[in-house]
Amino acid sequence: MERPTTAPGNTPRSLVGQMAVLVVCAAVLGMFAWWLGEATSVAAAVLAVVVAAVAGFAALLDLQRRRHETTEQALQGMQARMYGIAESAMDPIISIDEEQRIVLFNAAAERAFRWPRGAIMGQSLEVLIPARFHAAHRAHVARFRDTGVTSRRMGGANALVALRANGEEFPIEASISQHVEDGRRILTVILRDVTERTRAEAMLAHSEARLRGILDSAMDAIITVDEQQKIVYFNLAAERMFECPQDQAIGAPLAWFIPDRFRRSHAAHVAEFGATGVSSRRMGGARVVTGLRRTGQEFPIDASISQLEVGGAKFYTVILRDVSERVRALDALARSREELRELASTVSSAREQEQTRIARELHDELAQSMSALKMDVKLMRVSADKDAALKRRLDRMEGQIDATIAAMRRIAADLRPLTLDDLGLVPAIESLVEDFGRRTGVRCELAVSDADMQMPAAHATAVFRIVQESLTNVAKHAMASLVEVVVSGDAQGVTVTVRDDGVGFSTADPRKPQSFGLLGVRERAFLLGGEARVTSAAGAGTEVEARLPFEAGRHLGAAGDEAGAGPGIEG
Amino acid sequence: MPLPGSADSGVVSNHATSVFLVDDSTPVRERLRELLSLESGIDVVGEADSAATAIEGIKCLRPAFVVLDFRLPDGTGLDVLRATGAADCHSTFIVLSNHASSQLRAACTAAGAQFFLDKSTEFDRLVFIIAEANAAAKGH
Repeated sequence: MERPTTAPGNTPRSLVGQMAVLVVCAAVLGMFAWWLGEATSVAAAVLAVVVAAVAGFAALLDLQRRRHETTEQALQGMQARMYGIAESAMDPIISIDEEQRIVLFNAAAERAFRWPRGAIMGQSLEVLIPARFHAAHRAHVARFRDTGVTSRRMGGANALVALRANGEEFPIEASISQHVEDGRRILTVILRDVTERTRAEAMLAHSEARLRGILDSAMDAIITVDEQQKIVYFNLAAERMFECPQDQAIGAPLAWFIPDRFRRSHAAHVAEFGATGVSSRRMGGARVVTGLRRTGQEFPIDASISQLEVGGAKFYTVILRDVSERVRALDALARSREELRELASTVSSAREQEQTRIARELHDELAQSMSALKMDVKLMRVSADKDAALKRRLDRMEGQIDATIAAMRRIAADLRPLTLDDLGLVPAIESLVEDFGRRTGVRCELAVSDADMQMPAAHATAVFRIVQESLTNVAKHAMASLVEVVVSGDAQGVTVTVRDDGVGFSTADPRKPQSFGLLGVRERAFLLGGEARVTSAAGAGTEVEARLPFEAGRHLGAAGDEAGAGPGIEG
Repeated sequence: MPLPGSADSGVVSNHATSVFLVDDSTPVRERLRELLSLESGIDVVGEADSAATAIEGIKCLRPAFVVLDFRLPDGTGLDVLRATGAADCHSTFIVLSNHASSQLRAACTAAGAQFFLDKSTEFDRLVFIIAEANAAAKGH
């Protein structure tokens, strides 16, 4: 350290005054000696001058000493302040000399390294560095010294490792600076224990790795795109699903994986989704979305999309599942259902044909025989006029024949209403409605859009049976006072409605006895590609409505060749 | 197919009421003929067991009464009513069917039938109607 040799501006006023007083005193003594005598006067003058000179010099020396003391004090104060600053610093501060001996070790360093200052001062810095880093550290320090740069961060981006007194290692972040003191180069290291930060970083990295592991082990493909629809994340399942390696997919446009014809609408959908602000939803509604493999193969997927805003940038994540298998299974199921329906339709048609045949046999064969028998009884009665016993037997026989005829007609009508074949749908339903009114006493009104309604035989049969089954239900359960039957046809199909004002039932109830009849209504509608709806509530009556389309006649082939032409057999 | 009863067709007695029977059941036709024969002055001039022979016979014989079954092997009574122009014809058509419903009755009446009877319960009315017409003609 340099010391100031002159300090003219700092000379204290008291010293100047003192010197002046001493010079004046010497001069006065010399004048007095001169006045006393010659011989002694010279010696006295010399003495006076010497005294004066000595006094002046002494004053000068005193001045110098005083000056020195003041500078020392200032310097010591400064050192104390600096020491105080270093001591109170939160971060460990260590200074070393050129031999790497520790010359400063603050309180924070004591705490971090668990070394008491007294024990560490003068020791090599290497005490604080794990042995395996000694060589590298030494080289680094030498290089730093040679650069002459005053300060820099140590270790670049990597954390350094330090060693505590107890042998424990810990990560630090450090900066180094150098200065020259008393001609000696001093290196000062300010460091920070980053154990906590390192641990947090490690945990974050671990959690990220775990998340990535979860996403990669997911069965569903997960793809994240940015606002420009560029892929920013592509998991392992996506790799497999789209047959595209992750490194190719990242940065690629999402359009790579969408068939050409859907690209435009897809982009619009995503933009629209982004505008809704909804956080997630299923894609394509009930539809299955189509994906495109890198091999060019298309496949059905089930997708949901979610959006997330990170730092002002919007990201969309789609989760996709390859549903090829499901779609195949659904197709197979649909085919199987279609086959079943065709089978059921054929069975139903065959049953109707068989019933028609039996009904005709009953009418054309047995009924004719019974009529003939009845006429025989009548003829016998003519000649038995006077034989009371024979007449009684003939009465009994006639009654038996009448009962048999009635039973036969009922059975035939139940099997197949021949009116349907002979006169057509509307007269057949009129007959049904009349018969219902007669049997139950319930008023039954029929409205038809066209009395000469024409339709395929299968449809006519179905409409008739639906009305018949609905009326049977009304008779059994409804306790109605009025029933309305409406049949309306148009070019597309026929609609039949049976509405009553009876007690009704809750359609939410588990299967009720009457629902077996209504199930038959549904089945008949279903077999013709139509549908039936039952609306009811307790106390609010019941309405059965069935719509049978003509065009959905894929089952007509099976049902259409039913026995008996439809309406208007005679033209 | 010409039936036995139609052999002497064309020669209709001035004093007899002519009747033509249409029914595909031979036993029924036999008994009807027998029932009508109990009344004097009723002459079954012809019979048919199908719609086609019925139409031909009726046109040819122009009977006073036609007793017509509804269900026939080649059609229905309605076909016969229409083909013979029953509504404007001088013959009286009586439909006799085991298949009696008000709809069928309405259809037959519309096509020109004057009567519609249940074959099993109303055949005696058939005899009564023809006998009455016969009596009226005689009394004339």
